[in-house]
Amino acid sequence: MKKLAIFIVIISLVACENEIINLTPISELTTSNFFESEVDFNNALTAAYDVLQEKNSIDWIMSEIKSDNGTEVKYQSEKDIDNFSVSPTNELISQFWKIAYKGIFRTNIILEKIPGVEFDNTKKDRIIGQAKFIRAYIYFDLVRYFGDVPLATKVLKLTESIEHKRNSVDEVYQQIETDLQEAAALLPSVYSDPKDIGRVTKGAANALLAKVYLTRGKYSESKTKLEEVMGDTQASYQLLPSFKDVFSLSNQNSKEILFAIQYSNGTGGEGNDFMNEFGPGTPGSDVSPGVGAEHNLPTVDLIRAFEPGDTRKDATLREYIVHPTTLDTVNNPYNRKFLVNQNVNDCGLDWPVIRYSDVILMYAEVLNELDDLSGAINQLNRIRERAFGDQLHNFDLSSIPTKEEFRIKVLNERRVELAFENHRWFDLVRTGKALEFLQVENRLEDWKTGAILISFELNMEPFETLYPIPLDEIEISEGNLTQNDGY
Amino acid sequence: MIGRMFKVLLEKKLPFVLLLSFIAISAAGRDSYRTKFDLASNRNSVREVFQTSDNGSTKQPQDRNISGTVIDKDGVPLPGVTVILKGTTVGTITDVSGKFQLTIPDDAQTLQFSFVGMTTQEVPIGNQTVFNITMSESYTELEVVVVGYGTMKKSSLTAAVASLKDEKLDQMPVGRTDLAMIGMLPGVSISQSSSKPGDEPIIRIRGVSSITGLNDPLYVVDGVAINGDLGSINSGDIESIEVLKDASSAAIYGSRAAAGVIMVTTKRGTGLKPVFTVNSYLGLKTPAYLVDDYHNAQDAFDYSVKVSDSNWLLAGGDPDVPMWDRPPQYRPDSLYLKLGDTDWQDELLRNALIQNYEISSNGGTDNIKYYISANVMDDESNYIIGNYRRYSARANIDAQISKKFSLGLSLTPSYSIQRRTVAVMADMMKYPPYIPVYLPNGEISAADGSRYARTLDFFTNPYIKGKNPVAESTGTKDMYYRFNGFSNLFLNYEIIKNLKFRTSVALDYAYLRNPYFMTTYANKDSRTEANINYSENTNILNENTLSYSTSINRHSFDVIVGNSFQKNSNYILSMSVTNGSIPNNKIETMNAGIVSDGLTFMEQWGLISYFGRISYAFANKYLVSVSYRRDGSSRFGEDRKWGSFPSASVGWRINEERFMDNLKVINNLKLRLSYGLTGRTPAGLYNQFARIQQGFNYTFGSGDGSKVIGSTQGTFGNTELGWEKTKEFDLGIDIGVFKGRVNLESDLYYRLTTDLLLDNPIPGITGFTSTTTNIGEVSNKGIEFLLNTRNFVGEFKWSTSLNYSKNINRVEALGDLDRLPLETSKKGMWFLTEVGRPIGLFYGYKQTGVWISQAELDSNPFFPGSKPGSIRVADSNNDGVIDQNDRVILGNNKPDYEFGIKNDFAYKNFDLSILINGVIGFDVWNMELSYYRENRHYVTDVQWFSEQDLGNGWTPANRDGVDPRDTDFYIEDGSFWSIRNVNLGYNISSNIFKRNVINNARIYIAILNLYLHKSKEFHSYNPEGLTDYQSEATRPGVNFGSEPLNRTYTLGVSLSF
Repeated sequence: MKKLAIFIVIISLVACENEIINLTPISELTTSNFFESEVDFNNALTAAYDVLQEKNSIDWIMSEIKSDNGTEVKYQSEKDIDNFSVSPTNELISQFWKIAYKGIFRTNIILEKIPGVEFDNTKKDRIIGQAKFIRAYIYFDLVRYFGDVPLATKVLKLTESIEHKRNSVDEVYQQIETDLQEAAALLPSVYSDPKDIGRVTKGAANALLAKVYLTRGKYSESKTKLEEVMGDTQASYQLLPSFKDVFSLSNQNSKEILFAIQYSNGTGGEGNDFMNEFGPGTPGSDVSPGVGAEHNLPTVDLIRAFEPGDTRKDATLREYIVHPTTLDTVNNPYNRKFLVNQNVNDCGLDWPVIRYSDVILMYAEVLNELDDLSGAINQLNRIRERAFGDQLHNFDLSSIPTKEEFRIKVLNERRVELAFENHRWFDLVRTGKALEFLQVENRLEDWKTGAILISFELNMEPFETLYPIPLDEIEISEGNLTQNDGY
Repeated sequence: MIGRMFKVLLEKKLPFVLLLSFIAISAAGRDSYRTKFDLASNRNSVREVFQTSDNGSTKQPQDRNISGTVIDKDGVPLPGVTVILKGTTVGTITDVSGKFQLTIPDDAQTLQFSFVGMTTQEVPIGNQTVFNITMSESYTELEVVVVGYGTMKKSSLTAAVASLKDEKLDQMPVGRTDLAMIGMLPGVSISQSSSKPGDEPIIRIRGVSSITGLNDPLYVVDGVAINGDLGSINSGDIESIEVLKDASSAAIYGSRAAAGVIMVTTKRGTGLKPVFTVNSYLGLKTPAYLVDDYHNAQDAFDYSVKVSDSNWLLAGGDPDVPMWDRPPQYRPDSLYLKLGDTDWQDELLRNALIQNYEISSNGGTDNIKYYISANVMDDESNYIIGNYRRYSARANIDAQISKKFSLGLSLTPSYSIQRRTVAVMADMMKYPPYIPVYLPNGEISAADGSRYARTLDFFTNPYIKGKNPVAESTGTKDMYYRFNGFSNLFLNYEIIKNLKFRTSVALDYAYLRNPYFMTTYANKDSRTEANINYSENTNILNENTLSYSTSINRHSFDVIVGNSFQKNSNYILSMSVTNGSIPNNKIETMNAGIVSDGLTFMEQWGLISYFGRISYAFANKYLVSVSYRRDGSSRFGEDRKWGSFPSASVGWRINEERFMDNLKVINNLKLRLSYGLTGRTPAGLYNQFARIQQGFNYTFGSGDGSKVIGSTQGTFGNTELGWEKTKEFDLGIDIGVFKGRVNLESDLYYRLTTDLLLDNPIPGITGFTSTTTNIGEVSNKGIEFLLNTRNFVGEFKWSTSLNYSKNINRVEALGDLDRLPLETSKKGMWFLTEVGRPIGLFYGYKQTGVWISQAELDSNPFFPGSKPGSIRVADSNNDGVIDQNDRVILGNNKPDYEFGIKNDFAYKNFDLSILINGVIGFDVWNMELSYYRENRHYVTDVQWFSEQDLGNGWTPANRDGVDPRDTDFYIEDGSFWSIRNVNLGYNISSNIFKRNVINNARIYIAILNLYLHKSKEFHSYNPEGLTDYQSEATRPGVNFGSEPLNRTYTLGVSLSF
């Protein structure tokens, strides 16, 4: 009997440990049993793309409202960004930071896990290429908004993350360039399966790389990449005949789009709410039911940047609304580029990140910087011919005699062509024109008389080309993250 | 009232008939039962049975009768004394007058007399036939208390353990054992936050020590740590309840003991001739402490006149224009006087019944002992719907297989059905009094085909839309079916003398099925709704212990070592149908609709433990106890799985010292000092894992694209997460004077909980924003005492038990933070958890009246939007601006102190016990009162209406400015004391029963909640009533309208035969 008792004790001691205290979740996967197949990686990649939608819901505040294109009248933290009084406690920059790094984390975990798993190499390369593009795309925004930022290229442990310091702008750009070069090498020009439309392509990676080079002043590298994009016969990028059609539900992922953040209506959660965000709050507009929140309103400066006869103005904004019953016209400018007749919180219209006209304008800019002014003017005219529907508005060497004057013309052309597409702020900073343009912002005019009704002194200072590092992040890092000068 | 009582009794006479026939059948069957059981026992008792049942005709010549009386030293007869022929199962129990009769064999040697609290006596028989025995009290020396993995003499105890042995626990008409314990134990706070039958109370032992974790104690039933609470246990089966309060006694339960341990020991077989016990009661429950100032239809109209007039004046209207000439929105609605006059409180409450029937049998032979019981309890709600019925049974069997081997088995199935009300009282009581319950003239509503009236049937835009509360309550079925099958098998083997091995396997299986159905006439959208939640819990526990005890000269040792393996599995299923897809109200199951949503989910946890304890006593004077437990839990990562929980305690029995010999008045004096470490596991089972989550979707594809499912790591997964740890010092003193007539136990404690599990922000560059980490400290310190006195002994007996406890809670640290982010409830108010203060304080604006005029507003800082009649709040920081920086601490839900007083009286055949309990100095947020702002006089009568009609109350007509729910406007003092229970019994003398079939019979009347004394400023139903966040430490004291308490008049009978 004694033996039996001892036997029972020993059995229970030895046998049970694994079954009792080394348990893993039953109804959920964990990182130790996920990342094991192509399907898992595709799911994880989708989750990385998903962050782009989330990021895009703040991007327009960080760039357009900050710039002289858009203005904000409602929410304090948006108004602070609009008015150049951003504090390190601003909730939007903290949100942006967290979303951006969530996206980076989701690409890092894919890139870290995928080498250890065997499956079809072509499919694997495509996943790697897309993940690298997404990582580079987000870092490109981070480095432009915040300057030196922590460069995480792997999954971080808690203590590592606290101790992580900011990396220099050069280091971050080095990583972005490497990622994009590799992405371009791994990705196809077009996807044969229609189900894959909307994914990152070789052209997208090259075009983004060209923009990185342009931003860094590497004009000849940029030129090479832009020519690669323009010479991509498989993708055969081209401008659509009419500017307005680029932003229509029937032309999504058209030949003009190199990369767009995808939305779709009626799928349960994959639509955008830009009708709600940008739409006017009063009825009478051509598309909106009048329940919009009226964010990101066009400034007078933007309205006046359009030359007479430019078809892009009408496709981009409206200055007034005619009241449906009284037929009074009221000064109620709104941004209509992304307004479509769908459910205000569930619209399918994609958000272009890189359009072919951006590629052409970058090419024009690069040619000018490389002293090919007439080549540059030719490229610029391609954009203008579509915008005005004729050649009467084309430039030539007599209208733009110098490199410097071309810089001004192309900056304005980019402004009206790409208005509300989140380029203006970066263009102003990149070209060193931010301080010049962002001293006074005219925000409301009487559309009939042209009298300025609201004008605001921005008084931008040099340090304000960068956002402050969010204070909560500095505090959590126990001071390992430092603040940008001036904040 | 009497009329209503009779009406209910007549309607429900069935239970009474049941009760009577139950008793009759039980009594009639008694002889055959006894014969059956006794035949299985030894020859002696068989002979004794023959003698009794055949009226002496087959009496064997060598047997003889003995008889006698047992009294205490004051000459008072002692009923219930066990008289047994030593070494046999021949025995009996004394009757009400202390008398006994027994037939014994001629060669019988020794009689043994035993009784709780008395020194056991052995008397040689010889030729004596009449035995008059005087028993003496044993003070506390022999009292035994249950501790973790064993028992201990109370006199040797070095830890703080509260013990409850109350034979009348099952005579309190409360439906649950934990509710019967209210006010009985110092340091154990039990608050009845809900009056819904079957709902569990909130139990906190020595305060709240965890911010995010559960503060509920661990329950151990007959040595087995169970998953649930005391809800499934029949009070009548309970022998004793012990609460391990300090860390030194609880540390043997290691990682789950930080909130204290409640140990329940159930009755086991005596091995004597069978004794049957019946306890049944029938109680009438009436809603108590009602609110009596609701508006009737005329009041509602009068009020609307005042509000309309005030609005007219505020809008700048000419006061000379007659009321009926004003625009419609400034006119009262005369319809208020034409529809009906409903007292909703009356419509929604009812008198109800509580019934309890239990029978148990206790007996056995030398080798097989049993305790078997069955219980049916039915508790109706005072709310028009709601009911809790529980069926339970227990079989505790012990078998001595051989001299060294014994085994035992407990089987305890229980099944309960509970129908809960979904809506809270306030939601119901805000319905306007001028709306009738039913549509007039027998009309049928077009909306839902029922006869119930709604505000929308009469008004196009009433301020309260939705169904009338009677329709909503009766038409919503929220059912809880619980099954709990607890079984425990154990085996004891005595390896050598005093060295015992014990192994046990327990299986605790429970399910909860919760179908929910809402009819068209209950639903505000007039469509059916249905869903179901089902969960299953399987808990398997194996424990193995070796124990040894010995005494060498004046040294005595008790040693136990053991291990324990526990695994728990949960299975969850939930489903719902598309709203409205069940086409009618007749079929409530989901097969009638379109199932639109469903999931199943499984999770498990496991615990491996090794533990040991050494207790040593020198000369019964110096006591030392040391214990150690090592727990390995599945809830932590590789490096943090194991934790150690040591404890040590010492005791000094000063009364055993020689220098105390001259102080005869002190019969007991003991000092105790203890220290221990206990732990708490996180609520989540898989925190250490980085888990994959779904729903990170995107859209790809030509055209508009289609949704593609994304999933990736969704939780950070903290592998470094560890236990919450609680360290506790306890200093205690036990004093007994006047030969045990006065006993005092008192404890001072300091408890510090560290490594709190808090959601802490982490760097965004990880890809996540927060994870659970071990940060923060909370302390609880307090004092408790229990004073037991026997004021009168003799024919008139009076004893008193008084307990008091005071606990002070304080947050000591929160990592780098000074305070946690403010929390809020769904209806307003903020809750502050800040270093240096108790957890979870009410926080908001301090109200200082209302703005009485525009002039007053113009010359003072005010909350934006305020107008005359708006709430005025203090500029607390004196900066001339009212903003969020003016929020201050408004109140604390933790009481200053609690007490309980129990008085027991006995005279001749009567006995009476009265239990009083009180909780003093705590605040509650009676948010429900905000619903009554238009329909209770105490709110409306003091409202500000105009500069000519001033009042100090907020006018709901003027809702601008600060929301009163963000101020202390609805915070009230919840202090109360109540006469919780009165139990008056009459013991029927046994000689009135034929042939002494019945040994003891007691008829009793019990009244629950006879009286409640509450603060004058308290305007709600139940001072302890809480409706939301009850398990969250950071948001305490939130009452959106809990039901009234009930007063219950009970008639009961308890028999043993």
